[in-house]
Amino acid sequence: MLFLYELKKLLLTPAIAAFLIICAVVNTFIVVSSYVWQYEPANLAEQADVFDGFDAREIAERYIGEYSLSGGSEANIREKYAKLQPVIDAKAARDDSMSEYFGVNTRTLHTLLFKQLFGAIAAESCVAALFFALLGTGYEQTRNTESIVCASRTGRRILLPKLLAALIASAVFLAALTAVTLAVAFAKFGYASVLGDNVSSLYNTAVQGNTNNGIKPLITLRSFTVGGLIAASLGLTLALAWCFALFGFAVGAAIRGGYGATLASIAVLAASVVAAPLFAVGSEARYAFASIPPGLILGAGTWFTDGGAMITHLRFETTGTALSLAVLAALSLAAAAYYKRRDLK
Amino acid sequence: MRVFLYELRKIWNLKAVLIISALGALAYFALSYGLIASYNEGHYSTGYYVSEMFRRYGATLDAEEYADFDFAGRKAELEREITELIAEYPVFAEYGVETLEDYERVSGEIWEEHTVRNPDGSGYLPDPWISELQEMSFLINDLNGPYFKLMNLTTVEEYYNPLDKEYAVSWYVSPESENGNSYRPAQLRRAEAFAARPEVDLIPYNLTTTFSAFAMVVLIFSVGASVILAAPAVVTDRQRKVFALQYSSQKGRRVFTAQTAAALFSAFALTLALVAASYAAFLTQTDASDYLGVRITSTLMSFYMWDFTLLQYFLLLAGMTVSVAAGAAGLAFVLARHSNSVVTLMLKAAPAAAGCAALGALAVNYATSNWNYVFGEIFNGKRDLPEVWVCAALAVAGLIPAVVTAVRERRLDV
Repeated sequence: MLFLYELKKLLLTPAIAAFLIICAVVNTFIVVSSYVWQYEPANLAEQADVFDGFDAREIAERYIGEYSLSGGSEANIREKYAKLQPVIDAKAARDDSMSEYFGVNTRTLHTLLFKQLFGAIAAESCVAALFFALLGTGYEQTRNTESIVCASRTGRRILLPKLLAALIASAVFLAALTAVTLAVAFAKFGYASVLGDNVSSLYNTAVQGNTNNGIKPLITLRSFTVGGLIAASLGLTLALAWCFALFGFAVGAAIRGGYGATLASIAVLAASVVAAPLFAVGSEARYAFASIPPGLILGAGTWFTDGGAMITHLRFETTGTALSLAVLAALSLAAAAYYKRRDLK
Repeated sequence: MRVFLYELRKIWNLKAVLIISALGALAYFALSYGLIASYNEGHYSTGYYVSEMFRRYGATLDAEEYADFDFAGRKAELEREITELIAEYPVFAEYGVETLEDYERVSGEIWEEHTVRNPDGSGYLPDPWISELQEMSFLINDLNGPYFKLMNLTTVEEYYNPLDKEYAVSWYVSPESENGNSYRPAQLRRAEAFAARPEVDLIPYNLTTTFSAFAMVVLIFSVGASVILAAPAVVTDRQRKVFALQYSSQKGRRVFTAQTAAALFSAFALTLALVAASYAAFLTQTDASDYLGVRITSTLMSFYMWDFTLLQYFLLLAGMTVSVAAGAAGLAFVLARHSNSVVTLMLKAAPAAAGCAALGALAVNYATSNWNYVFGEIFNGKRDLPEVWVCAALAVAGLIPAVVTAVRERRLDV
């Protein structure tokens, strides 16, 4: 019951509705302002399977050359692409690349959906999730009910329903935003017709590094259809949003007062984004920055693929998200335990 | 006045100031410093010749000085150095390369014959051809070698000719140009005026573009920082229900006016401090201070719509940054008035600040040049300096609602 009240409080906050509308408008604008130059039917029969005889070491060597990698980072990149070779061979055997997708427009439309739109959806729902948690934990203080709630042991147990409410509200927000965004994108560019095509189509490419000719095939670690990658990306986005909700909850429960908690969350998040370029590409620190939730949001479009030169190990997105969820959940529990004993002043 | 000062003290609390300073330092080293470093590293390219001319002839170059620089003699000397380099390494002889022309012909043939096209139209040279070419290419394309210097010298010769500006101008405005800029009337007008001057300005072309990118980072940070600093004070007051007491008296009602003034003044002062500190860092870490009195109108890489000197350009971008940050702070302050907690305030202020920062960044990056997004894409090159007006409009759009809110508050029913 308490949980439902908490959920209602969060979902019926007018600022949340306004934020959802603004996000939907921004995403719609991204779709509407995108265009493709021409749409010529591709002739698959004339093309060769890009994965046939493709040597993953070629990508590794280009990265090593471009970023002048040496020592541990050089070894890591070599190892990553050595592990990727069986994946590529399996793709060649399955003829993954002999899939038409959007033909010559594949790269533009794949980037639009998986990089720009999923990047935007992830960023927006993570911000919403953070604020859901901060709203929940700061609510009693804002409404001057803190002294009543905190006077009893039962009252102090209110945090758990608040956390659950923030997690569920984040999922609801994500579902609503995704529904609107994908509806507009599907209506304008007809993604529905390619849901069964393999994303590693020979027309699809990932840009590698800074060089113009640094183009590599889109290598996903599993064989993904467009529909499958949408589902997986949605799952990852939900996990990212929950990371933000847990983070907001931990900060909100540990720091009394909305101002301090908001300031602290903004400071930590801004620092985790801004500090990343201080570390060299190929270093473990840069990898860590790229595989924590803020780095993953910025790296949308590379999820479930081999990633760029700063990604020194495979499965960075699942490892990073799972670890972040575990650490943040532990921090949240610690903050909740602290809240149970905290002095109000 | 005392209330104003007390409000200022609330706004400039230690927590916020420390966080803004720490993030500012982090942003400078992680984002802005890279721009300065790459400018200083890349400066030897065409900038090397331009700064040499600048040292010899001052801020402008006229036809006589252009002739005095002796491009033909310098090019002949560099070509001789290239021939010596080719004679020195046996790999060139394997391909029958004796002169620069031979090398260009041979590498062109290899590219033409063996380039592999990607399905999307881009192309690359695969092995073993790339390795075959690589050894020669490394020797020829050495960044400190004579070939690179020759290319840069040729570029400077074409773009800095005071009497023949056709080449420089045509790339940006002629109807035949590939980028289709011919329909931009403001740019055409400007090109005619530029071509009529019997001299060119001597400034490294990438100094201005690097600076505008640097100013863009400063703007984005300033918008975020001034919103975080200026907006929350009024919310905390409302949360503590102090305003109910204040609003019961006429004097108390003036407190909100003082709060508005303090918030806007703080945003203004903070942005000014951030701009002063970062621009000073730019001046001391690059050679920009030498060129402060020089006009920025070099046509290489970009084309400027106004004859600003570098100092005026600095002041213009500082003004644009302060306007956008003040506008964003004004908007955030109005949103704060209608929020009952800092969390809901930030939820509203975040999109507003992001919008202001994005529009401001588009206005400041490549400001006053043909590459500016606001000038080229939004106004299609039909207006003079629309990016400056956009920043001014943002300031007005943020400040007027803040003032109106402050005035209305005096008569408002609680």
